[in-house]
Amino acid sequence: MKNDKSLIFKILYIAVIMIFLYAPIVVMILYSFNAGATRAKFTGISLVHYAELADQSELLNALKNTLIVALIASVIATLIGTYAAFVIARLSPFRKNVVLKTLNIPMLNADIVTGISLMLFFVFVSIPLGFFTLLIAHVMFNVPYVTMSVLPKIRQLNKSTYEAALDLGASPALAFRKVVFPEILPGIISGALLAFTLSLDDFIISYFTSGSDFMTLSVCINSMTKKTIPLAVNALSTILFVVVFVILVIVNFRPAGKKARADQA
Amino acid sequence: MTRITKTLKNIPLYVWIILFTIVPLVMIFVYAVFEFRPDGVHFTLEHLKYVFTDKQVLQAELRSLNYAFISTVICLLLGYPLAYFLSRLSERMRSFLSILLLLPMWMNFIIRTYAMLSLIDEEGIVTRILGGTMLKGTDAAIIIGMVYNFLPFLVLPIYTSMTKIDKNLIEAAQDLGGNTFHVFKGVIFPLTVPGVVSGITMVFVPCVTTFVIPQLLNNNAWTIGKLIEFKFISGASAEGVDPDGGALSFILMVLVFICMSIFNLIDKDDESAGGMTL
Repeated sequence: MKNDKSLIFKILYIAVIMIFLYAPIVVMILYSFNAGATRAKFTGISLVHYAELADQSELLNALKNTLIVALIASVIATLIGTYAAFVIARLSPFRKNVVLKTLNIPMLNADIVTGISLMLFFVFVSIPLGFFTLLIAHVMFNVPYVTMSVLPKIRQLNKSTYEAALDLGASPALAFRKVVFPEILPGIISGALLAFTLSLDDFIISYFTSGSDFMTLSVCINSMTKKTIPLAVNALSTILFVVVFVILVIVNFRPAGKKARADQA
Repeated sequence: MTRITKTLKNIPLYVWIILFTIVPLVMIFVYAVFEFRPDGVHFTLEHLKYVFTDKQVLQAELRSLNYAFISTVICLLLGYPLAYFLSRLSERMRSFLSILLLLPMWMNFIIRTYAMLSLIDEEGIVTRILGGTMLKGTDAAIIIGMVYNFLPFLVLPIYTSMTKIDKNLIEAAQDLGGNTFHVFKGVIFPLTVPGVVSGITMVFVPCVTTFVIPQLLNNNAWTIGKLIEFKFISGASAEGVDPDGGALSFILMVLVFICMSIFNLIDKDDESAGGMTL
């Protein structure tokens, strides 16, 4: 049958590309379980490289830095981004357009341009590069993603329920807390998760804004690629892969998260 | 609420945007045309001239565009059919496979490139399969690295625009006697153009600007991203910002904005552009 043949072709085609996309990751994961010290030979399955992680203080420190920055940056970005969404929602169409277009520049711009622009800015105002500049940079590129995931929720708000709450004697603050906030909460949560993931994922902007003393994980791994990379990196990457997978599954079960990255281009 | 308090509430947002988005971008221009020396600040067009006349820089610029162009074309050739086939599968298969496609996108870029590197370097499996022919250090390595890293970013917008197509339209075209090719050419392709345009932007811009992929996979190839990285970080002097780096970044920024406005012109209909779904 012609239909069967074309279905088989489609599946084969998809499979070949998926193999291309996953082969490097799968091989990396496999070698993380290698009993041997290098990638030259696979000598057997062991967890020795996972155990080695405990001694890799540089890597662990970088991981800790990454998590701290991602956590703080995503919290601040969520606050600023949500506030921005409320401001933008009330602007006139012209202003809304201008503000949104400018706010979204870091989302559309090449990372290297964003990173260098911030680095030069910090150099210009004489703030030494380090944790603080890295944090500002992360908040800066995270804000638009939060705004874009909260904004649709504000648009969908039913004004009447808020007014009804006021008519029933609620103060504006109480009405906001009881009526508005629960409605936009899914947008805020998915925005925050998105910001957290983007922070974890970032390399280029961190590379230019973190200076030489404060390293995030990706900056640390990048510096290791100059020499022979220990297989402990594979072990850590495997762990991160699993973590990202779990976050992805959680975010995917939250419908609001779906559109957040949609306006990227 | 009065107008004034309303405006007051907006001011922090404007300050935020101006301070951390606009001013830093202006800084790139500032560092391209001003030299900050101990004896004062000097205006000069020397560094912009360098970007347009230096042979090494021009070659790097051309090379970057070339890699990006080839990679984008390959991504399109591989990715468009992939998006099309995916969209024709059953609902369950589709949602499973689109998550599978998304997963590598959320993996750290450096780790992904390192994973690719470890396939094609001295000890890599691919090198062993090829009988010692090492891809690392060749132009092909860069192209493979780019396609590998950015292909999902092209497939997803196209795939999203395909799944949005009204099934009735396709059926109507079939009822009117269109064969698979006609339906594709007359209905499916035109409706996916916005997705294609946003997919191309998502591949082309990072390919032009990346410095990680050439650095890891073929360190002999100087691209504009690598030149900038060198001026600012790996080759940086202790004296402060290299103005040549400022000028190079300025040119790159202009290049990125030109790319984006071209894509914007083609893709007027922003809203319908199929974006990425998470």
